Amino acid sequence: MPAGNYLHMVTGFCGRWIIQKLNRLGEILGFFVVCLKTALRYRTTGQRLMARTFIQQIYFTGVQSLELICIIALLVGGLVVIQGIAQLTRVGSRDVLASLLTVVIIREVGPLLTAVVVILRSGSAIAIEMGYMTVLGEIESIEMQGIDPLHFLAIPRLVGVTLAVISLIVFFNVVSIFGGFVSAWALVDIPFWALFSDLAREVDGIDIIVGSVKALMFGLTIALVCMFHGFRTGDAITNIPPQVSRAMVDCFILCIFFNVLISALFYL
Amino acid sequence: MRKPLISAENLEYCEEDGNCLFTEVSFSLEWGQRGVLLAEPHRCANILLKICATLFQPTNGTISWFGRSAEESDEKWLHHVRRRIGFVHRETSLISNMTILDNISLGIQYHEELIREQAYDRITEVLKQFELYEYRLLRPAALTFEQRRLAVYARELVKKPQLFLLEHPSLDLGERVYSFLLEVFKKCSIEDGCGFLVASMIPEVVNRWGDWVMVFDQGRCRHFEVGQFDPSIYRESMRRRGTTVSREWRNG
Amino acid sequence: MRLQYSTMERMTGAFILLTLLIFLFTVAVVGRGKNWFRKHVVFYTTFEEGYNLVSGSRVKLLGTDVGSVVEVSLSENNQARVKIRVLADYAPRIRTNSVATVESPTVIGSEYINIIPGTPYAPSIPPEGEIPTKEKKKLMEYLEEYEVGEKLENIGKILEDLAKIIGTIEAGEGSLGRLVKSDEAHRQLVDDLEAIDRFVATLQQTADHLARAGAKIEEGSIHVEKATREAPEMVDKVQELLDRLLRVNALMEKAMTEVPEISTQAREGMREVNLILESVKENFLIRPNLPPSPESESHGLEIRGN
Repeated sequence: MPAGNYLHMVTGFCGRWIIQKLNRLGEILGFFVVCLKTALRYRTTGQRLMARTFIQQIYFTGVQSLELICIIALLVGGLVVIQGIAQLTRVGSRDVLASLLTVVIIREVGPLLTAVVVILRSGSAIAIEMGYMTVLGEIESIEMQGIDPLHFLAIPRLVGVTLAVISLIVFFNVVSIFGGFVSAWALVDIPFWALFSDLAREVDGIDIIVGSVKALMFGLTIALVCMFHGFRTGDAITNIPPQVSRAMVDCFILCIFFNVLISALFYL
Repeated sequence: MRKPLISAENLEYCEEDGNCLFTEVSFSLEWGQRGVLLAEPHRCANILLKICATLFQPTNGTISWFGRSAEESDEKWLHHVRRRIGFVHRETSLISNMTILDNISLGIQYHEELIREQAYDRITEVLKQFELYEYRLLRPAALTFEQRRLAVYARELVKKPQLFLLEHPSLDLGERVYSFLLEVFKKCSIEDGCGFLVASMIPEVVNRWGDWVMVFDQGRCRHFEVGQFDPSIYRESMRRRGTTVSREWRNG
Repeated sequence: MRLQYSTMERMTGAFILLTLLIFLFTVAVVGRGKNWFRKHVVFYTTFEEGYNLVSGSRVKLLGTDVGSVVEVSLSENNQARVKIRVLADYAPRIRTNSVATVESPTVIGSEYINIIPGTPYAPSIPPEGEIPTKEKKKLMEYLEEYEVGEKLENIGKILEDLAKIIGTIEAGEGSLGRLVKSDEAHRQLVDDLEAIDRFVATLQQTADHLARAGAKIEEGSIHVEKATREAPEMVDKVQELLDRLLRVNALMEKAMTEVPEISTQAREGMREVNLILESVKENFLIRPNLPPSPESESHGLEIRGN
């Protein structure tokens, strides 16, 4: 085959791939807009039932994940401090430990790791649940009750997951900093309150705002992408695994993308 | 004069690959009337019922419910119409992570802003009538096929619909339960003027349900008043397709 | 109103409340660290240029953080007008004769405004008032201040002197020059170095001997130490032997007093034995069979001095 044909194939493949990804992103954004419109249209309908679904979602995503998040946060906090002490002692800058904790945990690792845990635990569950409901005709049953499935299923999950992710990120940051402090105190006998006051000085208002914006974006992304793929399962049960897998990958990539984008917007 | 419950004109439904399941389907169902759709392959009837239930959109033609056409209807009105339609099709299922109580009372809880206990009180009588009361706290997976099918009927009846769209009404049901259901529907038809559109592959249903019959043959439909309907027309259609004739049909 | 709540509802409520509390606590801690909740007073200062001051740059009073820059803008007469906010507690210390300067921990970068408080008798500047300023020194001013030119001149002179010294050495003048340039001096130096080498080798040998002697001394000292440890025991044993000897001596003295009596008794016995022997010799049966009599010999049992 002539070299020109290979070039056409490669460029064609890349172009198609990019267009497909952009299309999917557009569809997800469209899904978000439809969700918002639905939420506004039925804002006064079915509040009690919605509240129950919303509470169930926060309980599942937030309360039940808390244990896992705390364990991971403690370990990560300790790890950052151990590495920080090991590296900073070499250059004699151990006093920037609080600054390191702020940059690594509060700004970057905390939100991203929490998002990963939520994607693995709740995102997959949501995608599978929606997929099964679509395949088994449960969505149509809900529609035939005069209930908009987006309103009944998507909105409480969207709000619940977002709120749970925000809460979990707050917990992750606090617990990992506590873990870091304990490690620092145990390893190099840095007084707890010295690190605490250093941290209070290092953390800026912008860090709190960035953390909140990231949490909001991650929560919305996870809920939206997982529900989007779940609703698109079609009518075959064999479509569920690939859709769930696609949802996980899309969630992960979008979360990393938003993490970089938000950090660049606020810190550059 | 009351407008027909549902009326369709020149409905057409084609799939994405261009294969049209049916074309030029027209009918009208008046209050208290019962219509039967006989179709082989049955997918035509299934899709037509979903179009009638507002779940699918036809690729061509017009359809209206209670005198209002699809073009005039927004999403909110369609949701309102769905509450007036009792739809039990072969795939209709209960929500698997809810109890029978919640499944049946879902619509009431959502639309009437009732707390659970109030909604449960409202459906207790129906549950007892359908012999589901003692299973009310179980999830659908713990019930038999017949009980699940009954729960679906109960869920639709609780809405107090004016139009019933039924697919294989006898599916998964024993004779006793089926007779009981027929009584319930009869009462609904007489007292509230409910209309019924029943889809089946078995011509026997015409005897029980039909005021008029619509037979799908090669994507087109033919209308008959119940007195004019000759089962051999449908038999011929089935033979052409090589479909196994049911025992009921052979006996008939 | 329904007042009975499920465990799930209660736990979810607690979770959200706890999150809110933690969030508020964090904001409070950070805000306290950043002085968000303390009252600030706004002042203005005007500089000839902006000196890289930006919104958020620190404002210090005698090197201590007391506020930050709010805004830097250009005034109509092309000067940098800087709006600063200072903690209300410190605002009264900024007086009409206070001076604000732009400083930085390095020569360039991280600029901050340092306020030098005036005398306590001068009146305080009211809020929104203007603080007098002193311009930041430029690089050339720093160079002048530290007399960099003069120092560079001195370095040049030092370099010239060094060049002269190297020239002298190259010419073979002076001790070092001669040493570098003359072959004889070089040979002499090599000989001296060899002699030093030999001396060092001898020293090395002596040091080895000394080391060996030291080792032996150490060994001897171990023995001495051992003997020192065992000395009390040996003294005890010697004492015991002496005691025994004394007892033996006493017995000997006692025995010596009894010796004359014993010798008398022995002499008597011998005499009797001689008599018996003489009688036997006289017997006719024995007499012919007797060997010749031996020569007389003292047996030591006679009385001394007899």
